[in-house]
Amino acid sequence: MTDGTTMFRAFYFSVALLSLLSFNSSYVLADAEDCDSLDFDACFEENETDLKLFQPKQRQAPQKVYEQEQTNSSSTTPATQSAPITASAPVAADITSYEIRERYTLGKSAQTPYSAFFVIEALHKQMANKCPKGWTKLGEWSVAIEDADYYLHYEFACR
Amino acid sequence: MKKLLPVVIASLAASSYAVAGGHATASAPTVYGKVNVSLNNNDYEGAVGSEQDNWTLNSNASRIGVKGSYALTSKTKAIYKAEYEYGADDGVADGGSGDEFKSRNVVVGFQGEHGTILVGKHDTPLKMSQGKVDRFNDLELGDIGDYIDGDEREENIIMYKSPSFNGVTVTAAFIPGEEEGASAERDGLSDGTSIAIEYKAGDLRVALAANSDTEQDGGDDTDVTRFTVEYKVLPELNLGLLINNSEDDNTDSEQDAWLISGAYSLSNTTTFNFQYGVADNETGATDWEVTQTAIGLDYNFNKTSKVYAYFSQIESEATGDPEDSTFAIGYQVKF
Repeated sequence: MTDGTTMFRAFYFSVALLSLLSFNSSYVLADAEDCDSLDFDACFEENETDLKLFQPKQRQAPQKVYEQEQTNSSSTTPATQSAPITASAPVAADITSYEIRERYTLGKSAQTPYSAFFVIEALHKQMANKCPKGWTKLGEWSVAIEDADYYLHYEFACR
Repeated sequence: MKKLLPVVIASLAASSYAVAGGHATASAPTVYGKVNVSLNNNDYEGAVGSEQDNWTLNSNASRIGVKGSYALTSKTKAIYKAEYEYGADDGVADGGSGDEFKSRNVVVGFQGEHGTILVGKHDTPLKMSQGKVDRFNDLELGDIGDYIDGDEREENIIMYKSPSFNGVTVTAAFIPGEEEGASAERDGLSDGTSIAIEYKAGDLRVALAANSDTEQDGGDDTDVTRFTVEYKVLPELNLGLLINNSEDDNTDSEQDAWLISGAYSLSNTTTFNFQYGVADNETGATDWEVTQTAIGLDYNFNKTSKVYAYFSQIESEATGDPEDSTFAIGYQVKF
């Protein structure tokens, strides 16, 4: 018996053995990798099943406190007249940052009592209300409204 | 065409990938790879490999890589990939260097609505044009690269792939020679080139590709033309045809080769593969024919792993009519 005959018989045995395994319906394996074909550009597409080296922290969008207050009330009462500060003010467990704002003016305005200096105190009171144990300011920016009035925005997270 | 190709690719890069202001948004790199090992019973008489009659545990192009992307604009991203072969059988990558890892495709580039540009080390468009026709790709004595010219991975390659236009894509690459010295012959921008035009429509795929002055077995003056067709004849039957011609002016050699192959799904999990190829070789006044016959069976556990068995035989009409054959059972996992 030649080696070639032996190998053929061994192969036929393997075929028979593997055929017995074919009763189990399962998945069909893709038999060509995209990376090695002319579809190599598809190799760079992201898939849910990708094995990532690490997961970058995904920062949630901040909760805009002033939008919530606007939907709850039609008044634009300054923060000094909002709910009193309490040390036990609850903090939502699933919110990572907040965005607050206060209107201020660089001139004279009937819409706000705050100058650029005193508006900071008003915002600090809001932050203390949300984060009685302290906070970290993540961002600060100003948006012009009309005339000499602006909104000063703070984004912050509780410590 | 050789002088025009780099100009075209550079123009596309300049016009299409201008980065807007702002910072890049990165996604975490992805680790990927494939482990393929087989236990082979070899009987080689020197047709394509050195004489041997033994059992071997082989790692068949097992690889691990990292790839990723950075969004540069809403329509463009920077891309990168570094892929390395390693020896899942003995800890040493193939190639005889003794190194644990051997580089495969290592590239960086851009991708956007106007196509993809990659630079680095990569398979040529002609090599990639074979698609799934090579049913025993990467396997010992099964890979068509054992007897058909054209399967090359080029260093210092600059490659562009177009978007699809009515099913047609063009992939083109040029390779600077990088030779130094006053007598350098390959010191131009596009000393080597490779281009592939592919058409896909439903179950049909057709590709025509050509290499000019690319490296083949250490040389650098090989021209190769390859035509490939794949078609799903029946829901359970895929057939493929490959026709290949190569010429090397340095060695005055020429090769005409053709191959037919197929995959028949016996069930949802089991596939029967077959392949028959012929290569007519001429070197000067000497000519000889090499013939491959291969059959195999894959059993797929799921989308990521399979066991397989195959038999491949390569006969040569060179002196002594040597015949190499191998039978193997193997296991493959993708991640």
